Amino acid sequence: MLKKTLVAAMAVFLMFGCESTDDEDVTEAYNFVTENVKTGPTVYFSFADNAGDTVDTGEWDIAFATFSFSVPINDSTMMTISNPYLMGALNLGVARVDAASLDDVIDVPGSFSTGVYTTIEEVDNWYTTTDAHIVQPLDYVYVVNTDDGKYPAFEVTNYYDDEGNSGVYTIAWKYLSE
Amino acid sequence: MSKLKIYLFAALIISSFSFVNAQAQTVHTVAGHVLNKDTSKPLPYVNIMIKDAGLGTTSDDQGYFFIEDLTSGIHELQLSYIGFEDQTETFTLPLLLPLEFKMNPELIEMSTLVVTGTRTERFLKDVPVTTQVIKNEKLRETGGTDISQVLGHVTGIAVVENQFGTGIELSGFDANHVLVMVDGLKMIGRTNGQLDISQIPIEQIERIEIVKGAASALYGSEAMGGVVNIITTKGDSRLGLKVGSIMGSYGRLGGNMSLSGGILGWQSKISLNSRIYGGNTLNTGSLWENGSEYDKLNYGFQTSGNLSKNLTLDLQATQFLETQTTDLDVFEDITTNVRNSGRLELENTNQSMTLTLGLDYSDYDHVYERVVSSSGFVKSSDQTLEGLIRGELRALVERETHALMVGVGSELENTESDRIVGGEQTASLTHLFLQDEWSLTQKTSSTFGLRWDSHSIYGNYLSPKISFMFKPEMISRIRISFGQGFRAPTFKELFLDYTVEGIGYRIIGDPNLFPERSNNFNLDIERWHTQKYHGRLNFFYNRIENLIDYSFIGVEDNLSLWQTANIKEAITSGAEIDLTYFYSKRIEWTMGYAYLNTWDVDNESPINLKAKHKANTSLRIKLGSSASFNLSGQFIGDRYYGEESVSGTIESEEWIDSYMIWNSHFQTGLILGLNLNAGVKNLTDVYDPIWGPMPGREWYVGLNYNYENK
Repeated sequence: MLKKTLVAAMAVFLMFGCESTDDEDVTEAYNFVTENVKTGPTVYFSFADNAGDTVDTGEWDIAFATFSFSVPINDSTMMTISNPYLMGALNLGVARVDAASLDDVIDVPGSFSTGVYTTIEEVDNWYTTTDAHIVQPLDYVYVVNTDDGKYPAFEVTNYYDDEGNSGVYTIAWKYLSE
Repeated sequence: MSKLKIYLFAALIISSFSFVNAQAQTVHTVAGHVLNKDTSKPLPYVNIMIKDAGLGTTSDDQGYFFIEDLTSGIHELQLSYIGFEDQTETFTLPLLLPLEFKMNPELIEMSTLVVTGTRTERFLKDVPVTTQVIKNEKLRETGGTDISQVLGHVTGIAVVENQFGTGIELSGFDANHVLVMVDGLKMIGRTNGQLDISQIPIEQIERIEIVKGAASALYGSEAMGGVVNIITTKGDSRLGLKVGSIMGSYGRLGGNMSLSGGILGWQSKISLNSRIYGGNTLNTGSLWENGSEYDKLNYGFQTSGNLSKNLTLDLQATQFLETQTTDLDVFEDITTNVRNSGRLELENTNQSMTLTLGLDYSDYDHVYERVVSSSGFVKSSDQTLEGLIRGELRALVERETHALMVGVGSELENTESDRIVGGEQTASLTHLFLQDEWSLTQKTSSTFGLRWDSHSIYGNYLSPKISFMFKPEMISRIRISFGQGFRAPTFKELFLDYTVEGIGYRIIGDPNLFPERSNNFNLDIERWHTQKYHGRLNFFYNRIENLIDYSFIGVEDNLSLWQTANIKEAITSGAEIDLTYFYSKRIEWTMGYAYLNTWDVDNESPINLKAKHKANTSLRIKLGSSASFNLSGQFIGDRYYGEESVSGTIESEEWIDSYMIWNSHFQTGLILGLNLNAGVKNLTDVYDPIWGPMPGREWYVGLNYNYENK
């Protein structure tokens, strides 16, 4: 009996031990909330600064925006529709990982796709709209290969502010170690 | 008391049975006892007639009866009682032993009393318009946890379940063209045209009467496709207590209680019903919930009694409270509904006439809120408050070949909503109707009805109906009817002004709308044998004009603008067949098939989401004295869905696959008046997160207790 208890206690100790070693590798997770990009300008975000700017200085990784377009209602009239739009910077490497939460992503993916920012299709498809016309993030985490050689991973957690207005992005992100 | 009665009874038979009257003729008193053949329990209130002597009586609480002043010789005695086969017996006076009669319960209950078809009590077999009845026992024995499950298995009825609740479609008519009443009174509170019938708890239902075909000649607006009248249980002078509970998958929990008894000679009842459901999500890819979480509460009080020999009073008050929550991830949609209703009915009966005065009041408060899940902030809210006050006086005069009914009534309706112009609108309606049931011959009768509605907004409206009934034999009926139905435009259709910013459209009403009209033809043939089978064949044809729909009228401030208009025309026609067969007293099999043809005249396409073929079957087996098992299946054929473009033309079309659902239910009596029931709904786990059925397989188990003071 005593022997069994000791073994169990050791097992528990070992488990905790493993976890604490992992903890040292996992970097801190951050949140970033944009201003309303539907009513205001596009927000250009840099992971290195964990901050956004409304001016395109060229020093950014991803940009949060809405994309408006007009559709013909009938032969003579057009109507404007706004959709969320998330862009990666020029030649930014992006990998999409199927994961429900940022916590589930630990390793850097093997390959990244790059392209002119408007064509990184993976990023632009981060959401779906429900029957009630609510923008809802899909279960994707994006891993980005930035210019400084780091691998931030991020997920869009919300597209609405506390008052339910659309156009306000919230992302959760962290650096992955190689 | 019963022992004393038996002694008295025995003493009467043996000793003092024959007298000699003034004319020196021997007269006798006949004594008897009536029992249920199946259970050997006494039958109270049985009608007993000795036709040759013109004498009659009813059996007492214990099933005993006495008839005095009968002469010696052979007599013929007739027994009749609702739910039992009529019985004729001969006996010879003087008697040596008391008479004992055992009455056979009807397996096919054609002598159920119904009220919806003519607004007077008629036996189901004698009502001149096509009527179907679902009785309380059936509701319980099919194990329905809610009313929609039971109605879904009725041939010719389609139950739609969506974000506006549970609605009933009849003969191809949408839920907003079917009049739904509770105890003969129109239910108010239609959300988007649809009434949520699941607001009425199944335990409070005595029976459901379904009248198919236009009934506006009696009931006015909404009764285009037919009428569904939900009759609730009434109070009793005997003390009774019913307690029940249920639990099941998706967090289903329910409890109900009803207490009845006599208060100062008034038959009274109080009831309480609570239902909780945890909601369901079928599409794991989306956090959008398919079935809302709900919490429903019903209270009720009802009493009736005699004010004088000819005058009865019936009072009723109910309240319904409901909260529904739909989880949309970022948001939560919370709907709160409160329904209050009260009624008073006075009935004066004398030899020449029955006068009924009904006064009723109902209000319905519907609040919708979209709340940000993270902060609790109310992003948008919308409230609709409806009120209805109504009074009606009816007179019924029954002569040998005519039953004439005349009614006059008035109602005041009010709606408050941010979505209607001015925030509030009021309308008044006066109506007058008459109906004559005329027995042309022993085998033929005709019913003529006409109703005139005068409304403060849409003006005058006349609805006629004529029907014929033939009785080729005692056990078959042929019914033919032609009627016009109408549906008045609702306040929202008349005065709506609603903008949906997110999607960029604005909908406005049109105060100049006029009622939708339908012409309805119905042919119904039925034949039965009270111990064996019942078969029914029904054909119908409806042409509906001036249907109200949204019409695109342009763009304003970057919003596409839509307005209600009387623009559509549609045709529905079809046939239904219904069969019930008792293999033995213990085994009942039913099947039904409905063929429905719908046509949207403008789009030249079928009407959306109507199944052309629908079928149902059930097998009910009685096991022992208190247990039963029920297996039922329901087939819904392919359904058409066409997406309309802004210009009103069909943009894309699809056919939604057919499906078949099986439900099972088992119930058994336990000790101390307890009853256990359990079942599995949707045994084969069929579901479709977009088009339904939802939410797949479910189980439930319940326990009931029933006490009745004999």
